[in-house]
Amino acid sequence: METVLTASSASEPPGDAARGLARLRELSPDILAAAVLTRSGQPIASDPAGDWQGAVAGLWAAAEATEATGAGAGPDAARVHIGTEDGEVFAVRDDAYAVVAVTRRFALASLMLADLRALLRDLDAEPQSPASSEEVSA
Amino acid sequence: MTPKPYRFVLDRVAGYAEEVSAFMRRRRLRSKPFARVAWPGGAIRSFDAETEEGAALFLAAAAVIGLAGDPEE
Repeated sequence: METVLTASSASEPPGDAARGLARLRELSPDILAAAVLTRSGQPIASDPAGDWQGAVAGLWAAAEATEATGAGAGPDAARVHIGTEDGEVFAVRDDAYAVVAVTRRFALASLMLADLRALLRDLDAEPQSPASSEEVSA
Repeated sequence: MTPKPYRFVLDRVAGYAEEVSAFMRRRRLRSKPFARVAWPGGAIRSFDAETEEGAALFLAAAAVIGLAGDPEE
């Protein structure tokens, strides 16, 4: 069954975030799941659907609870990469958006982060409207 | 002078063995759970699961990974 992403409902055309997410998954077969959210945590697109808002908020909260040390450390974490036996989590964010991806173990981190940052740049080029994500099957 | 055939074979085998051992070493290192956080200025910190901060990160990551479902399905 093919999965198609929509920004808010089946009647609306998929936004750039959903298209970007679909392209990201095509480019990176290691990705098992991914989501685009606003900086404040509102989901814009996700694949598969789920409580990304709560899970990602927990991730950034845990990252922010860590203290940045060393020269140049800013107040908010911009990138999180966690590897566990069950898979890896990549999360990047800028002033407007956040992109989170779950991959298999041993995914190429540099490539994955480059893909996520590219998606962030694309999103910054064309602002998205936050909406609840929904998954439909074609 | 052309190297003797067995030297050529030895060199090739040793080369491949080194590649394999380096690959296995990298894979062994990466197989350990890790958590890294980076900041806009370029600072990066790693956290062990034994620390309070690391445990919180791994717990949060488990929730995110749970959204992907079972990859074997």
